[in-house]
Amino acid sequence: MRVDERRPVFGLVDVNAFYCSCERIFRPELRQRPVVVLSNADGCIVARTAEAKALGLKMGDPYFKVRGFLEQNGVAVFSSNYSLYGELSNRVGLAIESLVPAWERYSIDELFVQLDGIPEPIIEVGRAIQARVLQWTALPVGVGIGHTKTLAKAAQHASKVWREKTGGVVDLRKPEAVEWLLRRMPVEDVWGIGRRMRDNLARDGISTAWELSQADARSMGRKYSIVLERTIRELQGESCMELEQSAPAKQSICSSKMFGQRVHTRKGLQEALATYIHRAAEKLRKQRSLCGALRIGIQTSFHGDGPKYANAATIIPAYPTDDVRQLTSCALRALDGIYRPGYAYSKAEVLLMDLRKRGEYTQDLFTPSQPERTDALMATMDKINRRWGHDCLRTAAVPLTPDWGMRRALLSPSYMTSWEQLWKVQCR
Amino acid sequence: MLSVLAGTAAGGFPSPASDYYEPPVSLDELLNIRAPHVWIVRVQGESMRDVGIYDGGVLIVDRSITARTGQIVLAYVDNQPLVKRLAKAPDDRWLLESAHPDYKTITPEQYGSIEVFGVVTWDLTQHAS
Repeated sequence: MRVDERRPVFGLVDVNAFYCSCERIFRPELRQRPVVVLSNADGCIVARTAEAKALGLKMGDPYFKVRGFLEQNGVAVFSSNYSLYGELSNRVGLAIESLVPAWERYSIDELFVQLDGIPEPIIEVGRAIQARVLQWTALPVGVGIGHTKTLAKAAQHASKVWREKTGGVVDLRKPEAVEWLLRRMPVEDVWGIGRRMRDNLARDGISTAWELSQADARSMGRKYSIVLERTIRELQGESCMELEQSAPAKQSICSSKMFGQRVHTRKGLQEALATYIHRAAEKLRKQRSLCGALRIGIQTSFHGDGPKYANAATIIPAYPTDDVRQLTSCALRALDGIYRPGYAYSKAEVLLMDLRKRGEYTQDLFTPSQPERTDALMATMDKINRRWGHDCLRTAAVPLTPDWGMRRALLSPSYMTSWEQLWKVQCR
Repeated sequence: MLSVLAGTAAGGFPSPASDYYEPPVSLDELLNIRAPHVWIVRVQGESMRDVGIYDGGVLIVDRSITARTGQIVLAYVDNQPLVKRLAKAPDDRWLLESAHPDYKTITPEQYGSIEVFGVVTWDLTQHAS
């Protein structure tokens, strides 16, 4: 394959049915059974395996509506276990880091990697990533490769649609391959194209990714948004987004960076985490979401001779919040648990998970235009906290969740983050 | 209340005078449990008693090691997570040995599918608390 060496090459690594795949590791008897995972905010389906999809189950299906159907069809149902998914997500990142020069977490189950400068065939690097993540973490991933982030995402989409044929790794750098795929790709499957934009584009006679890529980027940018202009340029093969510069994901927000120089102190890590939280919380408020779980990670470089250390912790705030003070104090408390002196830290990471829309969680109490109601909510929170104890953070959140009894019943153990709940294996 | 730093973290952080600090020996390091391919699991049952793996004990399992004859592994056997010692049957398929006279070796005729999850590198037994 002839490839222009000066152009950047991005890979997108995506875990197949991530939440469900995590649950299946510890319940191997479910590997042939359909599995769904529910949000704990409103009890709808947020993840499903291919078998569940084949049954006609959709993302967002409310649990109470499909409950009978799930039982009849032997579908295994789980509540979201964020401490488990957070730990496995962290491990996926570490496995990938051992193979590539630079990477960026895009969401809890997707990472961009930089592949330029690596000797051809780069598709073999994609296959190596797939093999190593499976070997180390027991999680199946797909890899898409392209000259822009948007094309890498499209390639990854193709690796999912044609998984049998592609083996889950697709190199989308040849122009004829790009055209072949984009002609078959509905425009709403393009990275960054939402439902509203799809409807707008439909009025312009654009329904496939290929048609969008043929549109004039500048005039479309003027008509709609700079984001759309960038998307069109990226579909045309012009890279407009560097690593670490992507739009926030819907279900999780990540803020992380390699340090310019190694950090040796707790204070240095505190400063870095506070800075990342500040940024992540800004993104959170911008998309008007609240965060129900966050995860922080610290690590030394994996390369070189120095002592190596990597650890991470998941924290559930007392209530879903976008308050930077609340999030920061959670993060710093978690840091105290995992910080070890004597290491040269190279990276810190903040991952906000379990994001919900304001109001979705407690109806209109969180509406920002009504601060007195927010105050009332805070008072309620304090009351609950006083009643249940300040350490009982999860409990404090529970009474606000309408389906908390069910939530607890369907929650899998914290197999990897609690000594009491370790995965039990059989000697018999 | 915490004040939040303005600006970016990329400029680096002050390097401390603790360059000569050596951390104490670490069980994390010895057992390598911070590696992303190492897993910690809890034992149920006595079938591996005679190699020192007891009910309620903790095992360290490494997925980056390719399993060989003689090693103790955690394996999905017919989709059940089992701990056994690997041996080879004459036809090159895996035999699953126990370390307890009451438990017989599982032969290839007795299982439908086997997939090694990882190799047991350490076991931890608590003797007092």
